Amino acid sequence: MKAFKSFPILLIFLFLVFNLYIYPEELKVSFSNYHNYDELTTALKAINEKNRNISKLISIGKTLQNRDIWAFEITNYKSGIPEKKPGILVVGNVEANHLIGSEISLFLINHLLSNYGKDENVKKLIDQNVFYFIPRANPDGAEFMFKNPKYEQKFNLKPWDNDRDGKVDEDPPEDLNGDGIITTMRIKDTEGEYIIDPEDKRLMKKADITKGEKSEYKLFLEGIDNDKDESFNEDWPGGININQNFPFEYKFFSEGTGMYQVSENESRALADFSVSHPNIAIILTFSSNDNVLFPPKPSAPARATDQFQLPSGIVLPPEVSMEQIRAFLGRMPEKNVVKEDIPYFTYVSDIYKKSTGIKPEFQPQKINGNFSDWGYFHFGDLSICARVWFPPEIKEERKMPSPEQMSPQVPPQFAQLMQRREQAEGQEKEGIDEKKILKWFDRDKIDGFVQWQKIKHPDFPDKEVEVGGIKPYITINPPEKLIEELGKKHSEFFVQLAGLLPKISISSTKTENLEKNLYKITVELTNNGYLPTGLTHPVNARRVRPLKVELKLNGQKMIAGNQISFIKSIDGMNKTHKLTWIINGKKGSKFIVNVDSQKAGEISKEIVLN
Amino acid sequence: MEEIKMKNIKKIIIVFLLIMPLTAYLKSEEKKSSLNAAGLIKNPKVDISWNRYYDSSQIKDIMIRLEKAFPSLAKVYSIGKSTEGRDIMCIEITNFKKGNPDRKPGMYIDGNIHGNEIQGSEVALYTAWYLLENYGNNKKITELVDGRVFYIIPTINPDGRDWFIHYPNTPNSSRSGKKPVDDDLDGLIDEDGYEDLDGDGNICQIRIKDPNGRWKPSSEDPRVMVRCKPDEKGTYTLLGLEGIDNDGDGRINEDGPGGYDLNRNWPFNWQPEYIQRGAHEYPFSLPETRAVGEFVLKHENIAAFQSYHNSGGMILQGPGQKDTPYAFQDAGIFEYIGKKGEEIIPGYRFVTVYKDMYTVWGGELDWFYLGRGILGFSNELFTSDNYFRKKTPPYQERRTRMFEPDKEPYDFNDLLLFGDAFVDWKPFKHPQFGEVEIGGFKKNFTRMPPSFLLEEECHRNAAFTLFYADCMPQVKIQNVEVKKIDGDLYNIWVTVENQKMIPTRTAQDVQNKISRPDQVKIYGENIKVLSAGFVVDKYTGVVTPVEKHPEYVEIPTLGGISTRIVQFTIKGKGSIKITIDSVKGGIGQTEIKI
Repeated sequence: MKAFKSFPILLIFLFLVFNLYIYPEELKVSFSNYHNYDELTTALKAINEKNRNISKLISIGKTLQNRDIWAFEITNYKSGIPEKKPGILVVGNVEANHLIGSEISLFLINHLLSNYGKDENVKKLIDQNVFYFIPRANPDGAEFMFKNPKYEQKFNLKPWDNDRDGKVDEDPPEDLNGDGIITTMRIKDTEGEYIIDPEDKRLMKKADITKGEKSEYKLFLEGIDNDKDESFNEDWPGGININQNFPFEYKFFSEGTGMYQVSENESRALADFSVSHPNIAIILTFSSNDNVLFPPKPSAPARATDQFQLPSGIVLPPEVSMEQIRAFLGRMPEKNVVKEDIPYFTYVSDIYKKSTGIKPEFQPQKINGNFSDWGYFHFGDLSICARVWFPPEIKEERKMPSPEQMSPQVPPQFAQLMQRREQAEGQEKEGIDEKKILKWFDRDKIDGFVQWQKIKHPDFPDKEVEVGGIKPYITINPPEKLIEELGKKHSEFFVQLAGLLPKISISSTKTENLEKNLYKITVELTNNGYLPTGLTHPVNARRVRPLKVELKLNGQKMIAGNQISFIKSIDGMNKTHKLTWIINGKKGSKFIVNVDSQKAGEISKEIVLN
Repeated sequence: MEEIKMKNIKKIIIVFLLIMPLTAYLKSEEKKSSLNAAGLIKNPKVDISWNRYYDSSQIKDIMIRLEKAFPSLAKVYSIGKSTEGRDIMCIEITNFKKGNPDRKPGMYIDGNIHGNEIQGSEVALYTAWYLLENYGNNKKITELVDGRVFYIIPTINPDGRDWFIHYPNTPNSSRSGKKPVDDDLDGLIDEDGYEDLDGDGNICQIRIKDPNGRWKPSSEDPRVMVRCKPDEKGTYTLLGLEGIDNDGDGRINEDGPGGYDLNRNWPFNWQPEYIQRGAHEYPFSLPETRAVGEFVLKHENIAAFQSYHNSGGMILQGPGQKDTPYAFQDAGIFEYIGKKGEEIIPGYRFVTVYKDMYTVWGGELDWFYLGRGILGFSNELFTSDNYFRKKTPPYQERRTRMFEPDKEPYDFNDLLLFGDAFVDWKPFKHPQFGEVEIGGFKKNFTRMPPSFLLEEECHRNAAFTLFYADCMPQVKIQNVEVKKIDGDLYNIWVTVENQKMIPTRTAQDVQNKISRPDQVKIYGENIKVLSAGFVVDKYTGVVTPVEKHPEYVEIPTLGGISTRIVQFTIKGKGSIKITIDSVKGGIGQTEIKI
């Protein structure tokens, strides 16, 4: 009976399998459009079907609207256990409106897999390492870009009482001018704070009382007051920003951060996936914040314990250091990348700038509780974050002469100071300058602005109401025609990034006969990668296990040395570490030395006594 | 077959019916002939011994028995599963026939968050039992059960509890739950825990004779090991707790079951493992804390929090960390209730976690108050005051005293427990250490009350908690005054009050907009609300108008024992319903007719 019941399912299954077989030989993934969720899912499934021997598609969680959060794994399954290989995790769309992150992730997946048979370097990378991609971390939120009306927002769809009136999601924005997108609405009202920007009549600015400007407009998101509380669109659908929901510098009681850290299905899926893959050594996140064009700079270490009083009557041995005591009594959390780890971020930044040619147009805003920072400070990886694209800035040329170019009268210290100040000013500039965006629209003939248009508004029957402004999504995601080019640039970067992974090897073994059956064994380990087997902060924070070197003796006796030894970390660029043991065993007898590193692989070698 | 069965059942029923009145008669005779002690529950429907400890399944059974005996006052349900799949059981107590339980001011009580700190469960369970058995017999308790709702979870760490009870352990092992953690970072999980080498069910200490040791037996009592003074030579080395090196790494007991602290896994001020030992991966990464967290978020009516730990005789308030002080407006309420606790439970002191103990990141107390704006206390049950009714020195002083011989528990063990709590030092041949001696206190002593003191511990702490529960806010419409203006225009003055000491929203809640404000609503089929305002001075009649939606006026908070007058200007007549609706203070309603 049961077999009969499942027969139709079997048929469907066979049909599907058959369909996949007749799929065209060369799989073409299109990057001429942004993929909505269903299209992305179809593409991932198709790519996975084509590359079954080196890829795997898994669902790592479900959203509130029951969409799967996909993780795509790439490695050669025949060359060892994936969890024992050095790994890179790539996460896209951790902010709902950052769709370009998904596209680049998908591009990287496609690039790696389609070059496996063609490019020796790519083949080696896939054979030796494992790559995890989570192209769409916030699938429910991302769908807003494909909805009508199009409404740009960064959140998931967790019901949320934004205005604390006891009702949930009761006042969303509405498309009042019928153009299918949500823009801005301005109402002529001297009680407002805004005026039309005299420099560009399309834009609004805050009236400046110091210039004698008289305010003329109120500004709201396009929409009506659904709940008649005299606020507009103050309780929109959802939600929580996944990229503000992580524990590092998490902000309680702030808009969009959630009830508590890692409270959302999406953030939990990300955190649990990371935690269950401790072999991940590099995290690459695509989101609106960035540390790849603005790499971290050295800063003061975290505050140590202020004072320490030994209980009376206790005498400690002289070798106990104050550092040990501090570490034991109460460290303060690190808030900045520690100075020992900064060079690695700097080098990755250089590679990124060179391989992509992308220049920062402004400093992205700092985001509390973001995933990428969590990746370094709490999870313990080299965690890098790229915005992928900046709207081009048309700026007036203004260059400071370099110290060498300055006239000899200017003292060099002063010239340096000037230069540093200039740099600092560039860094301070946060966020998008709308005027420059409009100049870009004009120059490149981009249809990115909705002209102000009068409408009738039910809540303001007697007032002049207009709808217009910069279109949603346009300042965060590049025009579609740029996706492919950006994908290529980032593929180049990614291949170089993967080449930095740490890689442990047993570079030499030596057995010396001391006397009769007494042998001295020397083993030298080398890290052939660029990164250390563990960065300094992660090692101190107990996020990276020390390398474990174990002698699996075969009847021999240990005279001196540990059967199991631990090495904190070995730096990259062929740095080595030597270990010695004295062993009592018969000539010609064998044993195994096994080296296990959390993020740099596992390797073992047989040693013969002679 | 069927027939025979039926006959048997009938027989059994008849015999049972005959015996029943007889036993009842015998019982009542027995009760009649004795003098009732003050506060005695005379004929408990559920008889429970309060001088012994129960494991998680026995606790669950007791809860179910209570639910069966008091079906209209108690509901028992699971709020989630532990790591090992045990139910985390909650008993909800209120008069379910009176009002919506979700809208009554709620008190949340839990115990045993640390696996080894088990008596908290008995105290919590006692509180449930006491509330139920006294309902209808005691005025104060009846009032509490009618007007308030209690969510009591005797153990939120059932895995840790059963591990402590059923397996060899020390008084301190283990705080953790049972999710495996690689404590020693060797790539293996939980591979080297304790072993009960002498098979007595306890994990005791190992000592070895050593002419270069830094320890010696005390001259007053050779059972007590004392650290040598700086200029003294010792005779022993202490080798830690009973166990062997299971994984061949040269260390003993370095990676036992679990390896985290459920009371460091809460979201507010959470910091990772390198800052706060036991924090685990991220806030609420563990099923037990997550279950409780989600439960509390779902029950916005929870206005008070109480948890039970051991030991030290303390009523703790947060914060656990000095950079996040409590709102000064709320500090006085903490102080008042805490000090009352010192009176109710002699020997207990009201203290602040970070000041009087140590820094705690991600503790349960801080999440409840700082994260959710809910007042909360943690009682550290059992104090060494109990040994000989001597005053306990403050925690900081005791830390330094740890290095001197403390004979009190030994004397108490001899004089009052007749030696039941101590395992005498005995020689043992250890596979790695050779000839050693094993001995020390059993796991059920030093942090837990002995049998004869447990009931007192339960009662005094329950009494404190019920005093505290009675302080929870309770809103009411105290008075409605109708003043005719002209024709069918009326001014209605509504006096709303909070009858109890805790405000409807704490200052922490108001400042961070955690819950919604209280609302005073007016509704009538045939009226139109024209305006509303606050009466600033009821004698001069000064009113500040409210700008938005006059049908419901928002009040940020109603302070303890305070009133507020709201004026509604209405047009119309007929019956009018007036409501004060507070998330944590409950609902007050009245109806008038014009």
